[in-house]
Amino acid sequence: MKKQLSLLLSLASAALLLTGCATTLPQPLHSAAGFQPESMDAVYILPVVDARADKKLSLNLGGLQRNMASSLQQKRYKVVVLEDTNLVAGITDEDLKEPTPDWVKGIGPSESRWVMALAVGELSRKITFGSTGNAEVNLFIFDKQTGTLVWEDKGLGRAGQGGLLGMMMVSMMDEAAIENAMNQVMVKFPKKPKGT
Amino acid sequence: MCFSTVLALVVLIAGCTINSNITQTGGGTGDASAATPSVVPASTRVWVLTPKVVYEDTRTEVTLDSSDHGGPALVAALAEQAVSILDSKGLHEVACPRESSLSAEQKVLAEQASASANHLVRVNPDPQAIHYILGLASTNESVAVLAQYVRVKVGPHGTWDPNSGAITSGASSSYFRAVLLDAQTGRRLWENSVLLREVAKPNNSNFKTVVTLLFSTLNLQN
Repeated sequence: MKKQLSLLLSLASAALLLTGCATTLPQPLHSAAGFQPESMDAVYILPVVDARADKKLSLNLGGLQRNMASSLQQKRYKVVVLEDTNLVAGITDEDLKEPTPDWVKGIGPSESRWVMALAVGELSRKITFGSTGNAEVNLFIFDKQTGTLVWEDKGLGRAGQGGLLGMMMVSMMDEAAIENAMNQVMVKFPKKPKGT
Repeated sequence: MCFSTVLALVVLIAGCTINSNITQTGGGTGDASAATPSVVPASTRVWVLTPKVVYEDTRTEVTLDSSDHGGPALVAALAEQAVSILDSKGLHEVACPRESSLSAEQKVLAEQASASANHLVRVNPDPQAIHYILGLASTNESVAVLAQYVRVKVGPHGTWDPNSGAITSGASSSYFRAVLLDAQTGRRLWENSVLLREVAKPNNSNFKTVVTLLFSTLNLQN
C-alpha cells in the first residue's frame, strides 16, 4: 500500500514537473485562425515604417530591419530583406492596422506571399533625476494570397536609470527602449522546427 | 562635488530641450499648401463637428470605455475651445451643427461625419466620410467643416525601483488631429496635429496649450 502511494506521488510529481517545464509562447495581439508562422516559407521584410507622430529623435530604420531579419534567421526562417524605401513610401499606421485586401495584395514584390512590416509608433526620451526612454513597435505579417493581415503584435519598451549616471546615459535610453520593445515582439514569434 | 554639480547642470540644461510633453507634429497645411500658404476666407461658415475621442490601452490596443477616463468632458471642452478659438481668429460664423439651423437630414450627416472623424483626418480620407461632408454644403455661402480626432493611449505609469535605481516614464499619450474641409469639394483647407505625452484632461493646464497650438497655424484671409 505504502509502495503504491509512493509510486503515485512520484508520478504526480513528474507530471507536475513536466507541465511546469513546458513553455507556452505569450499570445500576440492578433493571429488569424489557422495561421501558423512556422508554415511560412520565405518572409519578405519591408523597410521599417516610421509611424511616429513626433519624429524629432533620429532613428536607425535600416539597423532595426537588419536586427529583425537576423532574429528571424536565428529562428530558422528564410528571409528576404527589401531595402527599397519606396516600397513603404506613403504607408501609414492606419494602412497597416486596417488594411484592405487590395492594399495587401499590392505591397512588396510580386513573387512574395508573406510580407512582414515593422512600424515604430513612438520613440521618446526624457530626463529627470535620471533619464528614461519609451518606444512602441508593431509587427505585422500579411498574406498576399488571401489579402489579409494574419499576425500582429506590439511591444512597449521602457528603459531608464536614476541618478547622475542615469542622466549621463540619456542618449542611450531611446535605443534601449526600442531594443526592449523589439525583444517583446520577437519572443512571441515561434521558432521554426528543424528541417522545414 | 563641484564637477558633479556642473555636470548635473549641463545634463539638466540639455534635458530641457527634450523634456517637453507637447509637440506640434503636423505642418499645419492643406492640400494646396505646397504652393500657397493655407488660408481660409474669413467669411467662411464653419461647422465644428463633435470631436471624436478614442481611448485605448497602450500595451494591448484594446479600446477602453471613454467615460472611465473623462471622455465626455474632453469632447465637450474640445468643441467649446475650437469654437472660441476660431471666433477669436475672426471666423464669426462658427457653430456646432446640433445647435444650428441645419435640416434634420443634414444634422444626421453631421453626426455621421463626426463618427468618421478618424477617417477624415487621414492623409487619404475615406470617400464615404467625405460624402457626409459634401452633404453639409450650402449653395449660397462658403462652408467648411472642422473635424477633430483624439487618440488617447492609456499606458502604465512611471516607476522607480529603489534597489536597482531603474526608473521608467509613463507611457500614456494623446494625439490631437484637426482638419478643416471645404464642404463644396471635400478639399483639405488646413490641418494640424499635436502630440501630448499624457492622458488629456480638460482641467489640466496642458490642455489649453495643446488646443491653442493645434489652431496656431490656421490663418484667415480677410
